[in-house]
Amino acid sequence: MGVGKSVIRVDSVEKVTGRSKYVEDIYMSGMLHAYVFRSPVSHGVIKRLDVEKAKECEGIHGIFTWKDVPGKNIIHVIYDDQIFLAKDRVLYQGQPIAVIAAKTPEKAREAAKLIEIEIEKQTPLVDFEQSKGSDIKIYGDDNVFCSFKVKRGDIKEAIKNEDLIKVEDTYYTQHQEHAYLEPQGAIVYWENDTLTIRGSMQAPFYVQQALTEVLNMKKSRIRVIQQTTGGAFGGKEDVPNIVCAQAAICAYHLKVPVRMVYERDEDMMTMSKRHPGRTKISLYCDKNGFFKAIKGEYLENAGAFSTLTPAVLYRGTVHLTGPYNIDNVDVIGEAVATNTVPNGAYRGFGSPQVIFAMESIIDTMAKKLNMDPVRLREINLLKPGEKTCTGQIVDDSMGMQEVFKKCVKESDYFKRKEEIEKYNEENEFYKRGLGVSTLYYGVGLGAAGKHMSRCAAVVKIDGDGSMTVSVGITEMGQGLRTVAAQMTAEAFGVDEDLVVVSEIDTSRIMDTGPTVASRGTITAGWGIVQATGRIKKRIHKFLEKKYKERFEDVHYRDGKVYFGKNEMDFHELIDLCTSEKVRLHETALDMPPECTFDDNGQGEAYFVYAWAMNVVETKVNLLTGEVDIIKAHCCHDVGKAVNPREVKGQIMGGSLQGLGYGLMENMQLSSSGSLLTRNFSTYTIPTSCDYPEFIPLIVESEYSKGPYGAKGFAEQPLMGMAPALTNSIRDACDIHLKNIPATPERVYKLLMEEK
Amino acid sequence: MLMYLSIKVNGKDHKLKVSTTKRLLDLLREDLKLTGTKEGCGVGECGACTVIMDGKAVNSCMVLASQANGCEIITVEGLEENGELSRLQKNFLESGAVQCGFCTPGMLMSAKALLMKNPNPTVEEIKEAIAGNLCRCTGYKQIVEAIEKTAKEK
Ligand code: FES
Ligand code: FES
Repeated sequence: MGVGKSVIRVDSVEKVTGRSKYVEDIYMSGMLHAYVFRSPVSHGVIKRLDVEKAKECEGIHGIFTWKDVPGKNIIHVIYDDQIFLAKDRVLYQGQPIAVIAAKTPEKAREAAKLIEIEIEKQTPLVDFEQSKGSDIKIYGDDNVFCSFKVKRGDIKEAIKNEDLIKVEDTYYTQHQEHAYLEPQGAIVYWENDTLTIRGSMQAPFYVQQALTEVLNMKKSRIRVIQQTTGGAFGGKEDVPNIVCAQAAICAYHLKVPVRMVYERDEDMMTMSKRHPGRTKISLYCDKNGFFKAIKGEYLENAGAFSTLTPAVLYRGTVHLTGPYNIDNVDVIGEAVATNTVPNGAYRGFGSPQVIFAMESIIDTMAKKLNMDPVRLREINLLKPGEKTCTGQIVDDSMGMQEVFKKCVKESDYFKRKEEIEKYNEENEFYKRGLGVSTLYYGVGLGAAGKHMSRCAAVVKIDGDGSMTVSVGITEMGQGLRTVAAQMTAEAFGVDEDLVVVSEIDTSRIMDTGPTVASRGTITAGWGIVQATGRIKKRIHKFLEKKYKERFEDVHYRDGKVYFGKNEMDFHELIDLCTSEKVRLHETALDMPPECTFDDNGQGEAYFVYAWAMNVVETKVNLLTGEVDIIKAHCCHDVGKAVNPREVKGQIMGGSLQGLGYGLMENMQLSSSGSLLTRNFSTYTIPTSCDYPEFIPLIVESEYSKGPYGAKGFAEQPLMGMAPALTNSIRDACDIHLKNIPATPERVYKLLMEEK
Repeated sequence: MLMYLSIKVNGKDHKLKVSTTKRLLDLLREDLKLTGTKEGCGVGECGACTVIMDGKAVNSCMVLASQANGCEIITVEGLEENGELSRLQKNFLESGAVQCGFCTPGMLMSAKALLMKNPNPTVEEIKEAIAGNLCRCTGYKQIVEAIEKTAKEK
């Protein structure tokens, strides 16, 4: 009961019995199915589009193109460059052109074959390193969507010092597919004059905003409800805007329920991914190993439209230099357009790419200095009171040092290092290695997203003592509903059983921004603490009036209420309050602490940071290049673990996604920008046979401003796993992977070169 | 083409008229309204649609309804015992084996099929049995532990 306990998830009974209703489980009478007709080419000009013949097919109720869009033909995210239904140009293979509403998905697919289209093909721009200033124009004059910089100290001056030791390298990372198990989907129907959307999504308010613009309808006439969502990881942040708009345009015109559930190959081909990246780093340190200066250049491949790229790039740029104390910083981030599927949010949000580079180059430096990589990190890690690359002092909830100590100790790093050395001496074909990474994560939207940063909750206590809580934060598997129930129950010292966390519905709760950036616990929590606090205050006043006595405190514990010398059952209290008309209903809206970011990238980039360290052990087969991940210690400072079991769940699940990214997940594109890996047979993700022995470790350095000390961290487990993995491979067999994933082919090739 | 088939699902006999090209997955979800069985990929790669057919775990997206004629099927809806969660289901909750829940029904069915055949599996056997069931949320460890615990309790 309450905060800090591993209570059982409030949504798990419905999930183990099959009673949870996901979008694909909703059937409505008269329901039609939507299917999208898409561009077959990566770049071209539409010369002719004729859907009339297709419309005549049996079972087809309508086919909608840009001509049928009542509002703006734009899917709003940040910039307004994303076209809803292509009119004259197509910029990536799979770009939506028309939406078909049919009796069955099969009929829709047959009709799609009869749509007549003539596209004049143009040369696609696929290689993102060629994008800036290319003759092929996708966005603006130079194909650059956005850029950010972080400048601190005086880099020019600093590197004049000839005694500094320099290492320099360039690293490449690939697309990563979210592979949420439930594909994208939504069902849209009219309820009287309100268009109602139920969808698999992270950000219902995004969807509401996007549909307002596409359909030219008032927000209050568009009601968005989040349906049980089968995983998201960022892949359902902005993308449901598109999916819901597709189903909505059919329902808008046809006035019947329309369901849209993506098939897996369509989902993989056309939905957002992690941005591929190139990161160049030059790192300078003195002969004792202290980092003195760093130069970084980060280039992101955004794909055809900007979608969330500006926000993703912001985070990547700010996170490049890692949790280290470096006085002189010069980092620039840039995102460019290509004729490939638009990339967007994915757990870590632009940072795993640069963390891979930074954590790899630190190991290069360690080698050069002949120092252990852990020692080199140790002397450079930020301490409370020191400044990040944006000049922000980190002192509140600053658990880096504790994380480091705990992780080194629990993983028995130095002893295992010796054992492994011995093993490697004795074994010819198998080599083992230990690799580490240390990292931090700015919780919340940061300065780049501060306009969306709000928190709210509605708490209502019924006469029988049961409560309903509504927050603007979604449950996508991460456990938000459980955590929200725990925090509410904690406030009144009662069991979670009494609390129902209602589904998110835009008609019931105000917009508190998207459920992203590890901000769920803190955003919902702030609202809950405030709303419950106000109700408690009101009860306090009421009791004083009733008892004609001042009470220092009204204390709620184990279903009882204590004030002065009095003790009362919680239910009795609520019963009394209800009969005496005390208002037990509260809406709270609050703003989180302010964030700033000036032209030089200096400021309070995020209001608080989470801290982490990973130690990964691998075994490399020198004859085949195959890598086995043996053990992974993953240590995270989370502020307060509201539910330790779920925190560990986030650590292990996230870490395995990170190991997949580092080891095997390999999206393939043809030279013309066509995505070749379209299902789990070719895009392989870790299975039950791939996970290592996980040792999740929790550090709780409470955040003074956080709800019950919590701060959020759920992206962080993914972020540092790829470099911990490649560093351990490097430790095992002395090969330096500058690209991921570490496929057997890639490892083997490097082993051959090494010989 | 339509055909008649008889099928036993979660202990109940059904006689149905279905198209010969219908998948077992659709028969369960659409004709019998048993939507607990999920579709994650439709091509036999994710295991979300796993059900037990005559004692064996199968991907119901890869089985034609006609192939299930005369067979006995168990789906996630058939796991509860006397209106209560089975030990396996309870252990899934208690081990933290459920996050988004989309893989869960399939995972449970692969686990159940394993335990029906092999009541004392090793960890390796458990991992093997659910190797065709993808889970993107949990990292698997909790799922394997839940199955292990269920076996030990018997
Ligand atoms: S839906 Fe059947 S295996 Fe994926
Ligand atoms: S719990 Fe989400 S895929 Fe397994």
